[in-house]
Amino acid sequence: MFLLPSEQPEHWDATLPLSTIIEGDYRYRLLVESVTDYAIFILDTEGHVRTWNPGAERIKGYSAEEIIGQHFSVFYPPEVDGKAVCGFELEAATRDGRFEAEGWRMRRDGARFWANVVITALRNPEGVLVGFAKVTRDLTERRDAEEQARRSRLLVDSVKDYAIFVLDPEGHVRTWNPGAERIKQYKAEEIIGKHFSVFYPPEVDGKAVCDFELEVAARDGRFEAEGWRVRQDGSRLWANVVITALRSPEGELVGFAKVTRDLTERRNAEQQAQRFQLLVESVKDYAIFVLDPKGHVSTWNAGAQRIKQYEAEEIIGKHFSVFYPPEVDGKAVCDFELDVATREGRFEAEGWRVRKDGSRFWANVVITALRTPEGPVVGFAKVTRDLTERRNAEEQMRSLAAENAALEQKARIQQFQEQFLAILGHDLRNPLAAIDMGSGILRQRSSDDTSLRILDRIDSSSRRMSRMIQQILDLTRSRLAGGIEVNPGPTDLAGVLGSIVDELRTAYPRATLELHCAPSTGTWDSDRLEQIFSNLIGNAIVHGGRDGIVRIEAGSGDGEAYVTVHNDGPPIPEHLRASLFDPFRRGDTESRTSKTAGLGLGLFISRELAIAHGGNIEFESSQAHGTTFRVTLPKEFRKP
Amino acid sequence: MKNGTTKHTVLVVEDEEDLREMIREALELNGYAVIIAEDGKEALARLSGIEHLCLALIDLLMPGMNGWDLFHELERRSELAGVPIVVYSSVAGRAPKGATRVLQKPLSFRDLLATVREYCAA
Repeated sequence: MFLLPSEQPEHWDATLPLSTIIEGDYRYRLLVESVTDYAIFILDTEGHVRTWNPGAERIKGYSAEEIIGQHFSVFYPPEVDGKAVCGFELEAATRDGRFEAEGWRMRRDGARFWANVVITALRNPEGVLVGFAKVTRDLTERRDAEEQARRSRLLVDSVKDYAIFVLDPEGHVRTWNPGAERIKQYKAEEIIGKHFSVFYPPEVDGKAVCDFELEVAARDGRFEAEGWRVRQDGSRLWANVVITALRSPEGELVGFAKVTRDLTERRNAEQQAQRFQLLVESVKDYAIFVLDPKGHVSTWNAGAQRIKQYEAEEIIGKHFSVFYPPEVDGKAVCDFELDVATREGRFEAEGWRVRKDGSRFWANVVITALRTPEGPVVGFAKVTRDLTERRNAEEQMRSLAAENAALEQKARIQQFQEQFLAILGHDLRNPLAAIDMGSGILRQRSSDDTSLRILDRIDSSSRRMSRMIQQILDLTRSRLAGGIEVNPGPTDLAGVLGSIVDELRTAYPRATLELHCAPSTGTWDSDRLEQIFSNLIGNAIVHGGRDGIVRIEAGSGDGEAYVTVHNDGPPIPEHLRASLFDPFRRGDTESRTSKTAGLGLGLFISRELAIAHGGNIEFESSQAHGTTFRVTLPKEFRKP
Repeated sequence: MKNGTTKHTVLVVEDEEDLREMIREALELNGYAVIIAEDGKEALARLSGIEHLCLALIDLLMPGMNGWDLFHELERRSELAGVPIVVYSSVAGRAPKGATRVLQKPLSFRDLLATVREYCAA
């Protein structure tokens, strides 16, 4: 250890003049000149450098020749009034014997160093000041280290986000920072000296785990882990822990630095994000995916795959216009949708979309703009539901409702028809029956010709009326109420024809009716057969030739009976033939004025009746062969 | 019974007054005793006053008790067993099974008399 002369006054030869001192005691000189860690030199009483040692040369960068004779103010930085400071320092050293300070000094090359300076006044035995010894140490590195340590300390002390503390080699807490207090809740005085196993949950063998961690840190220099730790109040935190071994320059383990971060929120957020992602990925009923700001698909979930049929790798990167039907300008529609979502935050619509295989589904689509906290749209969330079934159900409901309405309408019409038929059948016939009855009574009580003639007119009008009612009833039933009713039973065709012919012979005494009838029986409605044949034979009589011969032939074969009714009158005019069986047919006016004229429904109803029996009516008519109507009737009744 | 107890009586049930009265006139003119009723209920009420019922002539479509109900009620009564029930109606096709005879309206004077004569001595 180098000793300063002033600290060793007993070795100082105060009798020596400064020059001698400068020349130096040999031992001192040797010592001084070998020292390289300290600048040791002598100033004269004015402060000029008088000696220079290797330490001075090393620290300050000047050689002896360059500096000797110069004032020591050159060592000061330019911003300092070196002369004044030097004067003050020498004055202090003169007054107090010694002056010590630390401060910035300059090397010859202008670089700065942090110097510890001790200036000692040198006096001769008489006490006369002869100069100053100046010892300067370069403390830059030490200062840097100190500064760094100070800063670190400051840093550690101010850090709130990290628990940073030191453990001794056995794992006892030795320091504590605000972050540690915040995270672990212990105050410094509560935790310092305690073993860091207190931070572990009770179900863990804290001591063993701690020993293991310190062992790893001691061996590898560092240990890092994440796991659950416990706060003072027992609540848990998910911690990232880094333990670093602290060793002395000699390599001796002096403790551990432990840095703990509370990642609970991050972990929760991560887990939530993970769960959310899992949720989105596993949802099958909704297609949930993200579009980039331009509308390209950037994520895909199970629901999207199920509904739209694309695998993730097939669709990611594609524009979402592919989901639109070809007849739609997908790009324009997509742009519009994204525009609305951007402007209003949200877009919702229902419409047809297309699956990968080209099939369509009715989709409910919600597009939501995804924004960063700063505002710009970073993409869109798109949620699509397949509502095809719901739509189908709705459509079905609608068509069912329409069907019901149609049925109701039909029921109303049917009700109206029934009322109409009831009026026709009942209400119009009752008065006719009363008229008939009245005419019968009067006929029984009258004997004069006039009264009888009038009663004949009443009766024939009543019969005509009755026939027309029957015809309208039949027409209505055949056209509106599901066909004319027939009540088939065993019927003798010859008998039916015979009685009609008899009746008509009475009614038309001038007509000649020839009946050729082979016995023929079948299952028919005899009343309806009467209606058919009295119509056909009556027509034949009316339209017959001058001789008035009507030939009626009946026979059977091949499971059916037939009846032909023939007359030799003028043929049916060409223009009437096609519509001969139409209802309300306009025949020639002459026939309408005749006694049997009705509503033009006779042939229509006759054929309807034949059809209702499973048969038909056809006719042939020519100048040469006259007119023949042919009725065919299956012997066994069968519904047409 | 209007015309003494010796005559056989015809029960006529018809809701339409003109026709009902005309039938009564026609039958009485031809020597029958006639009891008229305008619906099934009235017909049943009048039955107790009839000593020799030879025929019931009933309409089907009537307000109040209709002809079908009346028919079944008449059929049910043992004291009326053997009395012919003739249905005359505009809906003759719907006449109840078991009717002695079914006549389609309009009913002519001739048919009416012929039918009644079949069952009843004047």
